[in-house]
Amino acid sequence: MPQGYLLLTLHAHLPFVRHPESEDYLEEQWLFEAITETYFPLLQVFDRLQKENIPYPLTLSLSPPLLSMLNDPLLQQRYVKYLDLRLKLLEKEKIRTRGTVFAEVSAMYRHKLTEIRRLFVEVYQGNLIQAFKKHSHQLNLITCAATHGFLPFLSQNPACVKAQIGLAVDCHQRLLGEKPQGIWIPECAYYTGLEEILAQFGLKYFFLETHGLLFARPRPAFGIYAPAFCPNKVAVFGRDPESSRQVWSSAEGYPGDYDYREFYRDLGFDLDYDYIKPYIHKSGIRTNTGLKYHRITGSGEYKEVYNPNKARHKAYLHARNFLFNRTKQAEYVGQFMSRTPLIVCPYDAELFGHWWYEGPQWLEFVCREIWQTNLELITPRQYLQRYPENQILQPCPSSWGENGYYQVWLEGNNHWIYRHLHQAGQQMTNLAAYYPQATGIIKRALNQAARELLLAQSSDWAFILHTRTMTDYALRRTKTHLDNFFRLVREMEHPDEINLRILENQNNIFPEIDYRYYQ
Amino acid sequence: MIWFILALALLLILLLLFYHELQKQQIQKKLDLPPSHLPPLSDWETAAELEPELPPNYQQNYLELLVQGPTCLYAYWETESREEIPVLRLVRLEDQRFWQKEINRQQRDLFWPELQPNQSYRLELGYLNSAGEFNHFLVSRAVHTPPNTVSPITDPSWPLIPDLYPQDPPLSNPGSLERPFR
Repeated sequence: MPQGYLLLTLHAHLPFVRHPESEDYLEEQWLFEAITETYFPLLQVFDRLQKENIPYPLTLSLSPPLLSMLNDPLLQQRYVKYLDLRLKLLEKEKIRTRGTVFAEVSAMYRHKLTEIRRLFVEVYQGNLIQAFKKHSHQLNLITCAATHGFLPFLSQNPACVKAQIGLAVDCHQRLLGEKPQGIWIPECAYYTGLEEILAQFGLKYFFLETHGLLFARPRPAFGIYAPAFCPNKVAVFGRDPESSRQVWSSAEGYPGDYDYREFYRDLGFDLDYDYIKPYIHKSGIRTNTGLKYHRITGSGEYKEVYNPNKARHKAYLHARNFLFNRTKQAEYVGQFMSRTPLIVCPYDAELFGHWWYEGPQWLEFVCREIWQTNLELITPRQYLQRYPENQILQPCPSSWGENGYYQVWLEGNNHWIYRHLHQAGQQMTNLAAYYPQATGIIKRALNQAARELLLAQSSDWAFILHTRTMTDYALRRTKTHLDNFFRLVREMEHPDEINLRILENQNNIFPEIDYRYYQ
Repeated sequence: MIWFILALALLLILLLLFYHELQKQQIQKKLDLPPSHLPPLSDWETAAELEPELPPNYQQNYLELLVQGPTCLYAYWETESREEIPVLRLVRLEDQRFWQKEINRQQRDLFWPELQPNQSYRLELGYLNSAGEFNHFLVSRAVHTPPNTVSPITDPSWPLIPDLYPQDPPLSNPGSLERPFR
């Protein structure tokens, strides 16, 4: 019997940023950067572990927008172009960096990107979903809400929450071949009663921020070191704050180590403008290329060249340190418990590789080294099989955003969207009632209206408006999807076939959508 | 005979290699193809580029109340009422205590801070008549502010282990990194 169980969960999600109308959208590159820096490196870690028969029972949520984009032929084609442009730059870099301190790191990127291109084109034939599916005997693949809607703010219209959950389950089943057992609720945003809808779609567990479980009623006997059941027996797992801080915190976490790659020094901004111009945005504005030659070095401007071997060794040390700390934690809490404590460590997947370049290596070392400890990796399903009896309680409404509740998604910069989202949600349920069995073009228009509504509901837009990063884009996406929705509703009796076809092509998420989810 | 078998095997290997190369080229071709035929650009797309404006109102009467956190609610509304000085009344359902705010006719939403955690509230929009009595014309649904401390309620069949409770449980993602891509 191990001294503690470790439940490592990665939440992989990107908003739906497919733009067939133009190749100039910077946001589409979010997907390409994430494929290159996060999803491929993670898959390569899983491949190596599988080859060496090392267990990696990790939990990975693949959000429906991400799955839909990974499955999209247009984005697959564009990704190859994205890679080719960088490989071209790296050929030029081979000459420029020859005999300099940057030659090694430049060669590292050339080697990695060449391999990624080979795998993407020849092995996976453009579709990474199969690559994840291949690991489903070890990886516990779960879903997320259909477009990452912030569920507490959709809950006044339960049909909107049902559509978010039902379509997510459908999408998961269609693309990954089986129904998910669990769900990552977007932003860990929970409201009382959500569990009823999760159960309707066969979902057996979800995750909460620490106090979502800790402030539950009655108090959880084991704190966050064991899951609990909602009154309807859907299980809930609470995040461990200590392990989060070590991996996540920019101030005291591992990713800030001076030997790790510096995210903010990119060739797109570092090199002479005329030299780099063919490889940045077509408009001429400097953009990230994903090629970064420096290590964090220190808090100042001065940066030294990145040393991959040194960084890798640091990832190894940090993995050992993480396991040491978790062992001590399990030893301490275990003495008070009548069962083996569970430590739940959920992270955004894109943290690994994109922000924290060495994150996938760290994860690999955790899987490789854990046998030397008294800890064991476990999935929620495995834990619930070992401990089928759990306390029944009512979780506390909460989220994993700043201040722990809903403030990030409802404040001075984004509050205005809810009036329109709620109005659109109400109109959608009215239409679904009015057209109980639509056929032909009206059915298509109703389905497209549902797609536009779902895309407008993405929590990413409110989050971006809060952080004021890509505000123009978030504003445009929210308003455009809502405007598309209201136009479709106005024309519902006589839909315009050409305009409808354009929208179906442009916002093509969930090809098998059924508007009757809103009934 | 042995030479014949060897030659045959060599030929087979060459054929397999050729087939593999052909397949590779086909996959490459598939991924290099231009995007599937899309309909031409239309006014709709141009409109999307220009960032459409959303309806300023929906010509309906509604009052919606949302929970922001343990001590703050957010409300938005639309009304056709012509009252000079509309009044918002927030009612705490546990004890029916209420608070009132006069608002101007143009106002369409507000944050209501400094409330109590773990309480139920309902908002009413109305006016004060000449006798100073409140008459509502819109009532929101009831909402409940979440608790911000551990519950005093315990479950006798699951005895509490105080050592498992942090003294000061964090209520957020402390000093978190920037969110990737978002």
